Amino acid sequence: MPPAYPRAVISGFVEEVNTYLPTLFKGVNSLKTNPHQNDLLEEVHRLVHTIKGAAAMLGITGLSCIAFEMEETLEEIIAGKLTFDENVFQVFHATLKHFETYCRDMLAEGVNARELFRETALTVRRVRGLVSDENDLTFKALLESVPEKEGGEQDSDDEITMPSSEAIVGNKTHAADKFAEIPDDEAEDKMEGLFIAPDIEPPKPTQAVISPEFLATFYGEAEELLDNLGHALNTLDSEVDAPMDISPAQHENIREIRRYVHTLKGAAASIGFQDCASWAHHIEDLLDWMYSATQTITPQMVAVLSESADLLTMSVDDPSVTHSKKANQLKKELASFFTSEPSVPKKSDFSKKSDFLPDAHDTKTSVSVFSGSGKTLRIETLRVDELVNLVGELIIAGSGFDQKMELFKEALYELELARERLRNIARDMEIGYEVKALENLGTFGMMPGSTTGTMPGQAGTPESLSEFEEFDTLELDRYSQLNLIIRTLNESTVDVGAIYAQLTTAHSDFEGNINRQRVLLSELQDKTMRIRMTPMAVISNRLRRTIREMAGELNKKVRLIIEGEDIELDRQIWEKIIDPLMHLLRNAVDHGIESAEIRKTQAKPEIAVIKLTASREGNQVAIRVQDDGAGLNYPVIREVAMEKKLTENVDLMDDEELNKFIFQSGFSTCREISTISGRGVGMDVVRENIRELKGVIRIASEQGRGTEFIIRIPLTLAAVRALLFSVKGRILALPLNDISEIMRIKPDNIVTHPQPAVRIGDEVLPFYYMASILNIPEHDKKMASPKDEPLVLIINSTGQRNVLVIDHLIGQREIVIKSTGSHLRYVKGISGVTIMGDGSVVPILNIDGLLGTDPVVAETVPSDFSFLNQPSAKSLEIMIVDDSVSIRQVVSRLMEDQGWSVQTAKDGIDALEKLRDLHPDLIVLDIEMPRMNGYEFINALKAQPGYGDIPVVMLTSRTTAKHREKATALGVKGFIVKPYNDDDFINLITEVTS
Amino acid sequence: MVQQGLPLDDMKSNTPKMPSLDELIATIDQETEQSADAEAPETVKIKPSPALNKPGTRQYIEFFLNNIVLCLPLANALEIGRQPAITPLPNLPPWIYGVSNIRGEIVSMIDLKGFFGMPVLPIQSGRRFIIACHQNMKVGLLVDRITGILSLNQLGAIIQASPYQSENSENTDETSQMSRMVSFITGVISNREKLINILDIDGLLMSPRMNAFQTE
Repeated sequence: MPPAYPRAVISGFVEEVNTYLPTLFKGVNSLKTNPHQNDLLEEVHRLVHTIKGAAAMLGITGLSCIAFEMEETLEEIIAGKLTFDENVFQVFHATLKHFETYCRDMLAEGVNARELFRETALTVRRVRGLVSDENDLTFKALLESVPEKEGGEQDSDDEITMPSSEAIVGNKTHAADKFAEIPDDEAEDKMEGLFIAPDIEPPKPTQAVISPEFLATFYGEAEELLDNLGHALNTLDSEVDAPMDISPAQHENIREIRRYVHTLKGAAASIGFQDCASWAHHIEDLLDWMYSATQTITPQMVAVLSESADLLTMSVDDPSVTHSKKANQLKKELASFFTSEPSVPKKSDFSKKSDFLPDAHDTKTSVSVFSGSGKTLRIETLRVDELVNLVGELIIAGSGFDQKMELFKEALYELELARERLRNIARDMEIGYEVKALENLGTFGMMPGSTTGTMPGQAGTPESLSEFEEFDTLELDRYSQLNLIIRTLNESTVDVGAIYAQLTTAHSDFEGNINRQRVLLSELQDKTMRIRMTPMAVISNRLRRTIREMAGELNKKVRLIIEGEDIELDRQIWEKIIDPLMHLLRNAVDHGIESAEIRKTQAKPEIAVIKLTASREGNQVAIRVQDDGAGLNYPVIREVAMEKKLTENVDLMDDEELNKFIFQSGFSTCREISTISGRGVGMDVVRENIRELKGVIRIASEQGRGTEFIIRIPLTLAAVRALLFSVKGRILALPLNDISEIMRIKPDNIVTHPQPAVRIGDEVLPFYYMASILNIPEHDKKMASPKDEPLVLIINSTGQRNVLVIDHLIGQREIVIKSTGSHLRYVKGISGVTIMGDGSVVPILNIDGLLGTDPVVAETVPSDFSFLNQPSAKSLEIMIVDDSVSIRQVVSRLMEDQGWSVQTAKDGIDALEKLRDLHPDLIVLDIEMPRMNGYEFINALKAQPGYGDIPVVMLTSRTTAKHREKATALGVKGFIVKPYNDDDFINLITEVTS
Repeated sequence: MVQQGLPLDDMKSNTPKMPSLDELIATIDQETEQSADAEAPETVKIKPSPALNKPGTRQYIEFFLNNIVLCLPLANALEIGRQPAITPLPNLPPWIYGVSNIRGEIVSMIDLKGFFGMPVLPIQSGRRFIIACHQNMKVGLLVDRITGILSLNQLGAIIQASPYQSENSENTDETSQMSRMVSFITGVISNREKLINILDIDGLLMSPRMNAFQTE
């Protein structure tokens, strides 16, 4: 029992465990009867994890190790790798019993920790199908880390152990600043002495003095320091490919590295991680020497430094590694540099710089990316996600404004018209009245007293009139009722005008406000998105370590060059992609790169190069993994494919087609299974992971020259700027990034044979109709494009430009990408949908998927659906021509409820104008309209080529046979009288259009 | 025209053969002993009634496909309502009409008749949807009409095993369309001369045809 913890703390812990135990026992028993209770499994896992963590914190190593074994087993069960059977139950039951033992005896006579752990570990390993050899080295080491006995009354022991560990603690507290002053031999001897002493707690008790908050701070700091250290080293690594003089920049770099190591050393020492600190000190020695004493730098030095840094990283988690064999060997290597100056560089084959090498400029920029990291704050990703979602909602809400503003503007326009009309009427009336009054003037003298009859609408009494008879009408305005009405009308007109002016100002103010909001919103969105974005640098260190380890294991000399570390992607994407990348890199080292001897015979540089490049390409991030190894062995792939009888005609396939085999599960060209590769799982997992990210992977390989894997991951930002357009009345969205140009094309440039294509400038590009790609049923077989110059989008799909014909542009908008729901996880050609401000759903197209240029996408539509190939639902496009706003609205609503799309026009002229861009399936027409009435409109329509056959339904309040006959004579398909019955109306329309 | 009011109201008065949504809400309210929000009659969120937890009480939503009476367990239904606006998506079989925005959530809309191999009709108004769920998957099923809620112990009816013979051979012939439906019927309730088929909603939503869109 760690002396630092009073009994009260331990007993508190025991109490805690005691409260968990019943739940655990119950859980395990219940799982025995029904092993498929995931919730319960999770719960048990959580409790065991809690116990493990708490035990480790209190330094009860034995219990923590036992709990760890159980936790791992549980994890395997949750992951589905292991089933909960009788054996597992037995093991768990026994483990829980051990927990009980700890609870009971911890504070009394103590627990035989090592014995309990040995027993648990062995049974657990057997159940998990792992090697349960007691003599296994790692196992032994693990076992030894558990003290023989834990808990109990250790007062006497404490007396003995305390002084030494206290001395260390004492040292440590002062150590931070003057570490270098302590002769490290001495410090180390002490520690090692402490460490080997079997029955005393390892130096953990000292670390236990530190409060968890300090530890968390330390880990946070260490992670950052190690990251920076890694990057600085990588820069050095990429620059030094031969022994060379230290440049000033490198000098600076070394100083930086030294600073990181030094800071880490201080931090580790202050927290009590003595081993870690002393290891850092060793590295610092070399760095000091490199900084001040030597003039040359060699790749070996950098390699040793890198390895030491790796070890340092590990030592933060597990201090004991600094005593491993590897560490000792590294220590020697570190020291060897002091004694023997490296031989003067010989410009041998090292100087053959591979063309993969980045120039110095690149490495500079990559460093600067990391030096910019200021203070950081750790937040749960959930919170960030919430923020991102909220911003998304805000944008949707904002686009609602956009649409309403359109309506507002239209209403304003209507208001202006109304005002104009009102003013005209008022003026006409006034003039008319005055003319009448003047007319009266002529007769005034001849027929005195009879004015009442001729004055239009005058209601004044003759008596009142007679009072002013001596006045001429020009001399005195007489205010009749009508006169007053005209005046009021005039005033109202002025009022309406004032309101109109006010509203216009308000409208432009609103527009300004909305615009400002939009700018702020998009900035906010950008920033919130950024929060989740991390540069590739977050994973590059792990990749580098993998390569180093692999290369060491296989005894190959490999340099990994990483470019584009500043490319940013969502952190989750990096986490998803790191496994495929590691796998590709491992493959490259294992299969791709030849052994040193073969390389020599092929006159390749001794040190192989693997290059990892990330770059942004449009709305995708392309990650390339290139090696200069042997390339894919196509003959062998062919052979294996034939052996496995994967498909017929393997012998006819070219290399390109053979590529796909290596992604198949269970496909391996390796005859032997090694720890590194050969099982045939792997590449299919790579493909699976990339597919999950909606990405694409491609291979290019050349025998003897190397292999290149290109992974393209779409930037799955939650929101994009997209172009909205309509095709056959359906609104669709396409990310702006995909579109390179929008234009109208001349029909002369369109070639239909042998394949539809169009000439644009000097290019000839494939030509598609969006409607036919989307299988939108055509009502009109003869793609009667309203204008002879179709509107097209020029699309940048993967490496190819395509031309797509659309009907109308709607505009660009900020849209928030949503998935297509829990049922339709994947719809070919659709990357998601978005919800517009009015609640309607708009599909977002995925051009690669639509045009079938997406190689990862295999054939998708199951073939047994052929029986369902019946005409699918069709949506009508209807134009309503009526001068009454309310009729337009009511009819539109009725039509829209049927799922039809509706266009409206105010009168015949307006309708004709709109028809230039439209080709509706049906026109609903009023008879009496200003400017151009219904009959005139039909005549005009007939005169337009291609429009004469659009069915027209008359909607009017004129019921007489005369009107009806006239309409029928003009070829109107239907005649419906206002007020109408909805069902009859709909039936009529369906009838007419079918 | 104007005195006829808004088309939404018209639909109700002009199509008496369909149960009005309000009636339906009332039924459900009765069952669930909860007052629905009168302001939002477009869709009805179904909350499990306390009666559901009582053993022996099983509730079903009863609906029509053409003239076939079907029902599905209330526990599998999240929401019912009038057919919403549907956005069609490309590259889908005709029985998947598209997706709808159901209060901010995107849900696919499926023509149950089409799924069973009956002729797929163009999207028409006046139909109802039931959002059925299985585990995390939600699907909107379009049906001709919803007639109410069945409570089994009230009826005193007994569920019999499905009397139909399911053909094993996947026949794509028109005549086999019934067998396509039959394979998703777990049992029947015979009640006052009416035969109500119980739809196996889990089986339906888990069927490979339904799940062909989970991955590529």
